[in-house]
Amino acid sequence: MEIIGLAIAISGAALGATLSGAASAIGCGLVGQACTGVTSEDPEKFGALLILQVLPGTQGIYGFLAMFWVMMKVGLLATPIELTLHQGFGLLGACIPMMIGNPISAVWQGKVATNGVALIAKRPEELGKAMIFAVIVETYAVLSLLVTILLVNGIPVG
Amino acid sequence: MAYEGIVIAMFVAVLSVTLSALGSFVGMGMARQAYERAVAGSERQKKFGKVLILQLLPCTQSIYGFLAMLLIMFKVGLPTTLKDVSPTAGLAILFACLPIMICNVPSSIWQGKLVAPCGEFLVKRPEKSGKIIIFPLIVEIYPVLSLLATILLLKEIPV
Repeated sequence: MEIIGLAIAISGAALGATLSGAASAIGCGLVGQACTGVTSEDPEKFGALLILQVLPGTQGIYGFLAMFWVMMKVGLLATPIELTLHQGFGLLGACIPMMIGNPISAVWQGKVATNGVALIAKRPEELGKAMIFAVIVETYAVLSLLVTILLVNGIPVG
Repeated sequence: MAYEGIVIAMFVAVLSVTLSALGSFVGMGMARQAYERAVAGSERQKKFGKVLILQLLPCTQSIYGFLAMLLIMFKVGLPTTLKDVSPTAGLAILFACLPIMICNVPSSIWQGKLVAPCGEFLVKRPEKSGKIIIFPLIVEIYPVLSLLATILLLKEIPV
């Protein structure tokens, strides 16, 4: 069985999950640094701060979801199907939104949420407003996931 | 029997454990340094147990890297009899291990940065230590996900 197409498809799925996950870790770390500072002054704000910290975390989950999508497409969850090199590159290309759009939005969402932490520190009642600024950045991560899912679905395999 | 596939797989195994260990090393170093600066000696000794747990958080990534290495070894039959791994299968193994190789390094470094202020907090307010440990734990999700991704991708690669 020739598996070069499968290998290329795996590289796309893996890179998408990896880069999104790494960027989410960085985003959560950025916000977390501000969160630990505010929590040590006022532990009562912990709940609101935790919500802000997990916001940049969604991108990692999206990358993982896209990886599953590709794995289902090529049958990696049960028995792998035979892919040509071109189909493999097609799947790799379909994962590009997960490698570029998702990581960048995770890091920038982290930066926005960090400023949201400062807002919560001064005005604890304004959690909703602090979240909305960060959630706007989330739009593009969701769009990246949508693009990847649609492109993967459109590639003929098998 | 050709050895190219085995060589690539071994290279990947070594790389994944090395990079993960390197990330953990830097993360743990950061955690310790910042903590040492923040807290005086006698206070530090009283809270030794809790601070040790905090410092071990960035260490988990290297354990995941080691686990990935074991998985690759079993995949190519290194402990008992070597399987005939084609270069393409070796390449597939390389790609499947990208999550462990890439994601572990930034996540352990950032976890280290998060753990550092927690040590100071632990000494100031020991009663709230359960809360503060959640922040670095959130970052832990991504190394766990990347280990899961590597396991799932490796499982069905035909060798």
